[in-house]
Amino acid sequence: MEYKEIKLDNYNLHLIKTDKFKSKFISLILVNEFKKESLLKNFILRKLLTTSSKNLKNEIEVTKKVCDLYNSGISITNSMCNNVLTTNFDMEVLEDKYTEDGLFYKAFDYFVDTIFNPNIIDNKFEKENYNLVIKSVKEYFEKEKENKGKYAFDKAYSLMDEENLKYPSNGLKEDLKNITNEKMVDYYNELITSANANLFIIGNIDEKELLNYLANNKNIKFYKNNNKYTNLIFKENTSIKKDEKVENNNQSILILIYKILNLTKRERNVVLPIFNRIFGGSSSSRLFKNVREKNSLCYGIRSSYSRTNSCLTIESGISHKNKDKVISLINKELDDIKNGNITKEEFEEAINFRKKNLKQFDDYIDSLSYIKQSNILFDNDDLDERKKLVDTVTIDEIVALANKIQLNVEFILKGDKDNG
Amino acid sequence: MDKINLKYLDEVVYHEKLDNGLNIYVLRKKDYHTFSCYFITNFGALIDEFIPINEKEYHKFPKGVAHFLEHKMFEQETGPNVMDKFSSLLGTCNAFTNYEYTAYYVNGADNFKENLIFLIDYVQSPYFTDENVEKEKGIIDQERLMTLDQPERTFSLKILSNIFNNYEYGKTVVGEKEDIYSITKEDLYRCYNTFYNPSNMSIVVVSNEEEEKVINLIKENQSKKKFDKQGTIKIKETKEDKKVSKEYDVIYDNVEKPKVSYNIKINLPEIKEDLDLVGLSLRILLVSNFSKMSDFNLELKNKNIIDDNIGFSIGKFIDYGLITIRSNTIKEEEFLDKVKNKFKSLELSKEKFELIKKTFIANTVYSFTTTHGIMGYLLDEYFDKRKIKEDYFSKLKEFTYEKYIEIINKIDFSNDNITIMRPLDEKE
Repeated sequence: MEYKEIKLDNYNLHLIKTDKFKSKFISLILVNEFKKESLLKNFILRKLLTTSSKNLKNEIEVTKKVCDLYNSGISITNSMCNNVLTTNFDMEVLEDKYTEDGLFYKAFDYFVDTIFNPNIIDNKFEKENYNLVIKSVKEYFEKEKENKGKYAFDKAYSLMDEENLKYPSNGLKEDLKNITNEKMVDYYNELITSANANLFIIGNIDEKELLNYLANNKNIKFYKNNNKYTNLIFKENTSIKKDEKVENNNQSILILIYKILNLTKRERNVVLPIFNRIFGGSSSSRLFKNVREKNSLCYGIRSSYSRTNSCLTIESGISHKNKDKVISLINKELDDIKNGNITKEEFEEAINFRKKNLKQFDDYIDSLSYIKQSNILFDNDDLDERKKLVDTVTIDEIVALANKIQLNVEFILKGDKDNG
Repeated sequence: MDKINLKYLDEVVYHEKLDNGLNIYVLRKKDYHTFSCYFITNFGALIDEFIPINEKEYHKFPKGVAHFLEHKMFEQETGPNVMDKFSSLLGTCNAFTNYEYTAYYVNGADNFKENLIFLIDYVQSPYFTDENVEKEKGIIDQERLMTLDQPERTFSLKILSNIFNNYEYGKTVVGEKEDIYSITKEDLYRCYNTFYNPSNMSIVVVSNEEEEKVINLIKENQSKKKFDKQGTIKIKETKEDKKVSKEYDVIYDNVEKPKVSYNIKINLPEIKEDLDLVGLSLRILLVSNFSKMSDFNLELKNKNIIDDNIGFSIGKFIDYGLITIRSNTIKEEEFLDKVKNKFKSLELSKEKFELIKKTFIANTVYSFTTTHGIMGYLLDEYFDKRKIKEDYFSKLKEFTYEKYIEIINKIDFSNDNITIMRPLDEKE
């Protein structure tokens, strides 16, 4: 595998050459300043761009095009990382051998067309498609409560103080009334012109041919920007916020959100994954063993962390009558780690698991792209460095990290039919 | 050792059936660190009445017994528990039960041999006690409650129970509360001894290890164990009526907008065609007529009959196919009328046939770009026909428009059902 960074016209090309896969992967990542109102606009724009363009007038034409390209569809996703909002445009294209000659550049043309050739007429997105997209967004919000886990998660995060953490990644339903077609055109222009752009291409690529294609494709146009992610560092904890909401459910969902104070780069990138594995990140974790296996209080319980947002979240489906007992068991496990009670076996297992997970990234073409993006844009170490650093973690570092974890939100979505 | 060449995919699956009846399938993926091993028994939620091994009479077990058994296989009499042992081997293990089978698996990138052998050993050493069976009931009941809070799932189950008169696809894999709480240690042993005999099981492995080495590892492991010789397991046969169980049904749940579905039950043997090709034909037909590619989908959106795309699916349930066309809409009647009429004038264009075929070809190749994707493909293949065949992808590549039309013209789309889920506040 060979990596190369090439500076092009207001954007960087990152090329990873490998013939391991049956496909190639294209990923464009735009890094923009985080604004609360961008979340909903970004959600709508993702739908607008993938349902029509100047050349493909509606969803029927787009779908036919994707089929014709052997299902080389574009996936557009966003992610909130402290001070920035990122937008990823990803596309996987099969090797010609399994499809037809020249597929990669035909698919690349479609990729570029989707991003740089939106269906804007007289400073408005084409009306019929725009209306259909808005209806589909309304439908998404109407179904919000059907996914209880996500609904509880979003409600819990809305209790946090930090502006950039309290909103769901697709924005809020109530902001929909402020959206207009013109505002969406403004947002599209802002997204493209104020983005720090990086293009990642992975696979069996002829570099010369690729550079030639990029140089000759006049549609690709970026602007000079230096938006850069910075780590979120919580200096001190605020008071614990507790809330309970009743919904028409059979089960209750408990969400606990913790802030991790004064997280260092090494803790964020190297120690945190090891801590989480021990605490609640797996079926051999403390939480799984004690809350589920020993006490039969839940079916699932897990902790997860956000590296970029310095948070740890625990979620579990429980009976409401057991809430205090579950919280007390969770607290006991966290306190135990804070007090240094980590066995050599669980520590070594967590280290080895982390090494295994890092090794597995090599087997997924999209992971190779995300790992490189995390390294270049999000202050993370590169894959080889990460593999080396895992072995340097100590139990004392895990204990020190655990002592920086402070509960911030305790939320329960109570099921009205949850009678234990 | 048989060699199954997956034509056009540059992949080979090796198969061997051991003396004890265990089937082994191995696919080697050179240069990949990741491996995936599945140990599967042909015992799923549909089976609850059978003659237990060494008995003479049929016995009916509580619903959810296959799933309960899956949970309890993680108990060990001695040594660390299964999760801890896999953790020490850096394997990620889990299991699942569906209507047809129960699968135990481990994925990893290190200690291949140890992980594979431990997977086999723990599944072949049950340890159930009154105490550990009792302890599990609370956990499984929480799993049951979790699924009750998923209206989408409740809706799908309701459709299935309205389609099938005797096949119990409409019941949950987990069972009802009274089922869960009535299961005993003895029930579990009787089911285990009947269905976890190697002759009723298969192992599927995708790894970068040599095929022969993998098969020999399993052979050596099995040669040290003794199993009863088992004949065919007598399972109470269920005969399904051709007609749908219920033509119209409305239920109420915690949803904002009605979920409306039009469903068609298809008797597959009556079509008298290769079932792979029937499946392909139906999928192409649905994508042509109801996906984002169809004029029909756009028309319904433009006329405000639906707000988001039409949902559609095709499933195989033993000898029946089930087509579901659905949407969330307050215009229930209009949506249903349009869909019903659409089935009277289906679009069968050659252009769309060719485009959709390209997508299906691509999806198959995509699944061969990751270890988990390959495992998914092999499991789908295996559990459709109880063996992995070499020609599925070839059939797809060589499938012609003329054959597609011939098959579609033989299918009867008249055996239908309407199932609707309305918001609770619409209940009188």
